[in-house]
Amino acid sequence: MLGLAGLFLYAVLSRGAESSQPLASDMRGYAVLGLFLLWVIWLPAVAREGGLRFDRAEIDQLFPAPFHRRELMLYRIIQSTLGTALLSLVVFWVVLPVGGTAVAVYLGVLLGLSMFSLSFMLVGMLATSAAFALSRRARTALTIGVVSAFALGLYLAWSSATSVDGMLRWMATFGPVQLLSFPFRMVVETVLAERVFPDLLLWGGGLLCVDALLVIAIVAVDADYMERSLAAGERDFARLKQLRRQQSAFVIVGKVRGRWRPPPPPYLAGAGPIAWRQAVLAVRSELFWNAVAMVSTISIGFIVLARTGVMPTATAPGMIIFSLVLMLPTMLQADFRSDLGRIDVLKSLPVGTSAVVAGQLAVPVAVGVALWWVFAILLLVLGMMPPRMFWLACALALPVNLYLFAVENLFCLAFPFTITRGGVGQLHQQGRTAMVAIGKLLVGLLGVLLSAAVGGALWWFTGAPMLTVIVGAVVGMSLVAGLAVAGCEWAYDRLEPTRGE
Amino acid sequence: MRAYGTSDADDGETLRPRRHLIKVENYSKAYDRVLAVDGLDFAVAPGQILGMLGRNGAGKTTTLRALAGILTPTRGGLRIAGHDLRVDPVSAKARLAYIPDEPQLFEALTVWEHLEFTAMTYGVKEFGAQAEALLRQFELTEKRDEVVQELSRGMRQKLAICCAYLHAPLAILFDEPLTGLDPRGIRTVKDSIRERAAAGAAVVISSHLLSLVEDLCTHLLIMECGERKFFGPIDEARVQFSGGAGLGSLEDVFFGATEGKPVERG
Repeated sequence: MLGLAGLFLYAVLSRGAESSQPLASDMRGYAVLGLFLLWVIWLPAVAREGGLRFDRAEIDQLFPAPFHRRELMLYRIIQSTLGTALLSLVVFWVVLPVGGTAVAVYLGVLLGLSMFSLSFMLVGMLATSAAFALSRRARTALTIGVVSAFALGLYLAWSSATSVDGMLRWMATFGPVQLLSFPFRMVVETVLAERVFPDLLLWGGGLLCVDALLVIAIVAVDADYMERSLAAGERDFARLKQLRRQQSAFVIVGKVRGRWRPPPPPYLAGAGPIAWRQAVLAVRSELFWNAVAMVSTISIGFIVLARTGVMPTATAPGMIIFSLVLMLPTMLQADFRSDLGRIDVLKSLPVGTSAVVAGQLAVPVAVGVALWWVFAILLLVLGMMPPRMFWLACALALPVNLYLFAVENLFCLAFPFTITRGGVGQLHQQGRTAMVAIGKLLVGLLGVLLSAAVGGALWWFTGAPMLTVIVGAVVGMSLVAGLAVAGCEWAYDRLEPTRGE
Repeated sequence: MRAYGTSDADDGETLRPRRHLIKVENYSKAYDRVLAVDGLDFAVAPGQILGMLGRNGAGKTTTLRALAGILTPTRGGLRIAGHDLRVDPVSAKARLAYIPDEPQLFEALTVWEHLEFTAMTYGVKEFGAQAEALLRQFELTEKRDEVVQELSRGMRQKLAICCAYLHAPLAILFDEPLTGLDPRGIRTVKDSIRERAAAGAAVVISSHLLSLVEDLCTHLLIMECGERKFFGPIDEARVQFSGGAGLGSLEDVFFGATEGKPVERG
């Protein structure tokens, strides 16, 4: 953290008031639209998570203490803002090359990320209030209304353009989108500000006002939020508390309705029962089905866009891989990430470390591989992927998914204190997100280098190019995946929950 | 009740008269520079119930968690039914059950599925009748198909005990076993502990409830700041710490042992 702060100061002092080349105006429009769409895509998941979060210690210690609710809210918001300030130091370096002055970039990133965070809190709280206040029919009608409005917007964009570029251009100039995305324009303009006055003061000041309004709205909504939840009865309130302090988003918070479960697998040195338990958790978790549905919908969306000529056909496989590689591993948490509170149980079972790790990783990896193969077959059948690429994708599905989930779990086991979402975990969560991203990047680079080395050696000696590519890629990725799984085993063995007397 | 030593996890092994089912030799555990337990020795034979007493931070739970294979000892040896936890942890854990003070159950599974999962993991093939009997004994039959997140604190505790008993463990470790239980539940658990010990299991109970230890335990381990202050039969502790006649209460014994002198009685 100090290092990042030092680098930030260095950037400010060395760059001073200079700025890079100003971003072209159409690119500014795309940046605004991109931020807005990112916010919209994130919204359903955020709404489900219920807004403000307090961890168990905070609920037990601070709620009975002589503090007003408002003070607790401000405590949480300030803590969240401090976490955002740290995260901004990381994002700053990504944005700096295209931004205005260093100060403007940092302020823009900080105020922009705060706007994201505060608006998500507000939407989550409103959604939770609505969940208690509205009947099931009203909630369904509201959901249908929102989805219909979104679908209508997409249809209008689609019908008025023949390419992705055209669609984006249309959306960027569409009145309602411009109005709704105005706060995101403030973010972009603040980041790109080249002068303190009027650019930075005008846009940055406006953004600060938006953040302040969001804080006021959160505090105002909170009273209603708690009252409604209390009125909804002790049982629902218990659910709300559980939702607020849950250690993993994958833990089921509602009443489990489905009783279907997969058949028990063979013992497999103990990995079988552990994988079976994770499979039961997965099939009964709404978040599991949401994750699969979201990734599938996005991937099918890319196929439809490519088939209808809106997007170049060659880019569809790449975009699908992008969604499978980036989204699925963070969303499917039927592994150690949902079990950090039960490490004691796992460790006391008569099952060896390798079997525990294998059992914990089996379900998400299997789902990842299945989705990978389904979309590879679909692309092959539709003629959007050449057979050679198809075989490569099929061969890589297992090592790539194993690697992705193993790295997620490795970081989770190596830094288990970050499991609490909200509270102190708010700071840790953001730091962990950055660390996981950097870790995955480094391990991914190692995989590419190994793949290239093995492939190059095979090509050099055998001269069979396609075979070398497939074998090299699979061997390289398998080696990296093996290293990541070994890392998981090491981290699991090393993990000692230090509770007790 | 299922006979001990006939679980599938034991591969048909029967309970031979062993000198000790739980053996702790020179066990030490350090966290960074803090020594939580220092050179602890004790052993529990079949049929014995050992009560662990000590103030908060004395090292009781740390010892139990090391015996359960959750923590790795910094030094020393831990054996369950003759199996060294370092050398052969899977065999040792297959003969062991650990019930923590706050049971960590799997939220998505039903009561029955917890028993099913335990049976699968410990290799208990015909578990149905045994599981039904345990549910009846702990009054959980009606909750059989409920997901555990619907259960009360006491019911969760009882379910954890059912899971622990299912594979007929040779060594049973309890950490505050009565937490959250109603009077009827307390009686059921206490009776079950006596039954398991009578059937040949070695039981360790860590508790601050002196009445529980006095009521159930045959032996006593008193710890203070990670060190052993007393280990032996409970009657011997009375003689040593509560006056020569050995008529003092366990409270007298505890304060005598931890404060270093026999309690003066009027």
